[in-house]
Amino acid sequence: MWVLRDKGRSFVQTNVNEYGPTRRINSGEPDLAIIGDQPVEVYFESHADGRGFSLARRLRQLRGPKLRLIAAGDLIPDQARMAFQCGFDEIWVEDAMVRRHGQRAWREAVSTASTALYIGNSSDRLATSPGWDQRHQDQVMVKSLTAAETFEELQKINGGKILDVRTSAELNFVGYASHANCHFIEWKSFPDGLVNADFVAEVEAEGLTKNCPIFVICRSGVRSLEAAQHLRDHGFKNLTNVSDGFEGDLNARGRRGRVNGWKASGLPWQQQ
Amino acid sequence: MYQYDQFDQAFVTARSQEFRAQVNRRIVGELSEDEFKPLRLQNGVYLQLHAYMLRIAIPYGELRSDQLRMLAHIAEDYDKGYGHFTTRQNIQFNWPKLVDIPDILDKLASVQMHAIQTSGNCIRNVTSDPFAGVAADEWIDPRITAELLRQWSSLHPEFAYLPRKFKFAVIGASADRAAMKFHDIGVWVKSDKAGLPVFDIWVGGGQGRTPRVARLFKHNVVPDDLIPLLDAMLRVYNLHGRRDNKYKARIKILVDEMGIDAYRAEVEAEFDTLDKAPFAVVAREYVRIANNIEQAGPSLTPTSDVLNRWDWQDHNWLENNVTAHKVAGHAIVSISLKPAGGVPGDATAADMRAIADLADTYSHGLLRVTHRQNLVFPYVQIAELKSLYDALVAKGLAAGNIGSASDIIACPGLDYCALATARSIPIAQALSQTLHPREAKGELQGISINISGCINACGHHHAANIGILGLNKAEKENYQITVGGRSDEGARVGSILGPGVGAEQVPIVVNNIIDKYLAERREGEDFASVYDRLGKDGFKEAAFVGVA
Repeated sequence: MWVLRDKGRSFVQTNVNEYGPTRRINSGEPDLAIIGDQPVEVYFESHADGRGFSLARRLRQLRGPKLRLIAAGDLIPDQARMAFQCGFDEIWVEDAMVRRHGQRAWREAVSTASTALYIGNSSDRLATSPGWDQRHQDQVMVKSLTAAETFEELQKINGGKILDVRTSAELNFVGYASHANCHFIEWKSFPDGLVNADFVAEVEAEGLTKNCPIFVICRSGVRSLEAAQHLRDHGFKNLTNVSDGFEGDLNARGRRGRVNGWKASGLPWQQQ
Repeated sequence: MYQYDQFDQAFVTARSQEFRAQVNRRIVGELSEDEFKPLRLQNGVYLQLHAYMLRIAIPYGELRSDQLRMLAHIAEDYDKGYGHFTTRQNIQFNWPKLVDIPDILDKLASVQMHAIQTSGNCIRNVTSDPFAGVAADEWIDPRITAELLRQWSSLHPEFAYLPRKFKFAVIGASADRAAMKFHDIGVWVKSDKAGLPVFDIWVGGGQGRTPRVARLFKHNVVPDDLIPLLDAMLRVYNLHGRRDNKYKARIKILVDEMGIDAYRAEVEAEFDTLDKAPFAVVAREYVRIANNIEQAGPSLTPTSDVLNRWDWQDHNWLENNVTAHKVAGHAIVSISLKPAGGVPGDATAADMRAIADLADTYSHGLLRVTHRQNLVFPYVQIAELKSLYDALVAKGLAAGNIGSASDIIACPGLDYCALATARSIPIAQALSQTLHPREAKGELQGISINISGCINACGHHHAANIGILGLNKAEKENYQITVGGRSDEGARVGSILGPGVGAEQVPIVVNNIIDKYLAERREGEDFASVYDRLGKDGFKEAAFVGVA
């Protein structure tokens, strides 16, 4: 089985059994009431049957960002972006489908080469239509880029700033991005998880304005998204969440810094 | 006319590149025919009886002269020199080669056109009033809402694989010139006391095997709620619409089977759970589109010119093809694509170029396509009417039969279509030959005749005063006649008049029905009002006189 993820834009062959049990639902006969805490696998019986897309949206709305949502079954590469825009985290692709459609088609399915057609699932809000999101994203969305894409974007634009919202302990022991314009303001303290009540004021005191491009980063993209949403709700207009963060996701052996993220992508970083 | 900004242009260009890659993947076998089919359909490519067909979107029927010239160029270089305007304000070409289609789409993208979602089980190109923005009876310009819906529905990730196709129409006047109530969802835009738009939503209209007039879903929806409400309506349909039988898969059947109240309740429950934040921008976007259309459109200066109808020899053209304009001294002019014996809705490349040139001279380079398969110049000065008329006569485009009996809608029928059970075009041509001489007397205004070549009803026969449905009975073409249908604000499905007749008898029956109407007609009545009085039975006997 191959796993295609929007976050990190990764496409890898893997043994999905290592992920533990999932709750499988058939898009034709969903019983949302009995879905527990396990990851949910929505099975598409046919690529022509689009019920799974609506189911994903319903589940995402009901259960929030923590639910792990998997699309499986008869999907084609051209439907991958719809799946992610509707709230799926990953797509499981049978080996035979990868052979027939080619790895390239699957990888290109989540490339941002054409942001006019696909701007990625920010996990912030479910996407509407690409044109709509493009035109209105400053008002309604926190954009989403991988660490590698962020690095590229920072070289292209003027005045981009990195806002690292991790705790000082993480910065000291794990390291942080080497960038001329990197700012450090804690969003949540450890271990109590309390939100920094002065967050917006501290961001402004650092000279980060409501219109300047801010790329928010944390360990693996969760806290940074919350922080970015908080800033958006306070009138900041040009926000991007670094979706895989500094250390990235856990690998199958439960370690970070190997799969994705700023560090594993080979981008410049330093330690104090 | 709405002017593309960077987002629209980037989107259309990228989509064209994407389809080129998909065609290549199909050719090398990475995509199966089964997988490729929805992709090509959503880019307007059908497989017809003899060849591929490409249907190009003309969003809410609005077209610039340079775009029409591009269509003429495509007709000549990639087709057989003509195109066919459709009942959903689009144009289709019947003979392109699949390998040429990516090039055609690139050329279309260069003039801000595309074929996106003109086919397939998705939200189709939105249609509207061809007189939008200029009609004297208009409350609020429906193009703004239609464009808003285009933005929302283009490549909507959730609704590209619906149970069946999904059609929207938007109107904003007291008269319905877009058959709104025969659409899956109809939006009737009204203006509240402050001049802001509010929307009446109608659902479950459609034709085909099970004709239905749409039912009122909700009154006075405010702009902030419009898009999330439509999302909820489509989501309930996507999850519950039937997928076991494509003839029962449209939303009209779901609404029938659930009942409108149960459907509404489920939609409202869904609406309550929706994240509305992405649509908090709808009011702002509505204003942006309104300003865009306003700035890109011509600004007309009112004049004191009035139409003196009695100066004219061709009284019919003036009476039928010229409509009141909201700006004094101006008129809306319809150009009939229904000449005597012609194929309804067809235009040659030469016609298209001639019309594009005339649009530049007389209508600020802008025109419209109507759902009755004609064209419209929306910005003509009354002072220039006569000169425009003379120019149309010179080009053979001055048929004065708009809204009259020989202004026939017909589907492509068995001459092109893989689904058809009988021919439509030759029936339309024969009828047109017998009706055109009668038009001269000016007595056929307000009679609609529509022809479909099978029960899928693409020729809108259910919605016509006189409807003709081509069937195949014992290997012979047989035509069933209906009367009393209407597609306007008083939308109604026609009733079957009696047993079907042979192709050669259709003109006899139709003329009989018209004779009966004329005999019964009282001052000021149109066909629909006479039918209201007489009912189907009033026509039954007279219709079949002289039919063996």
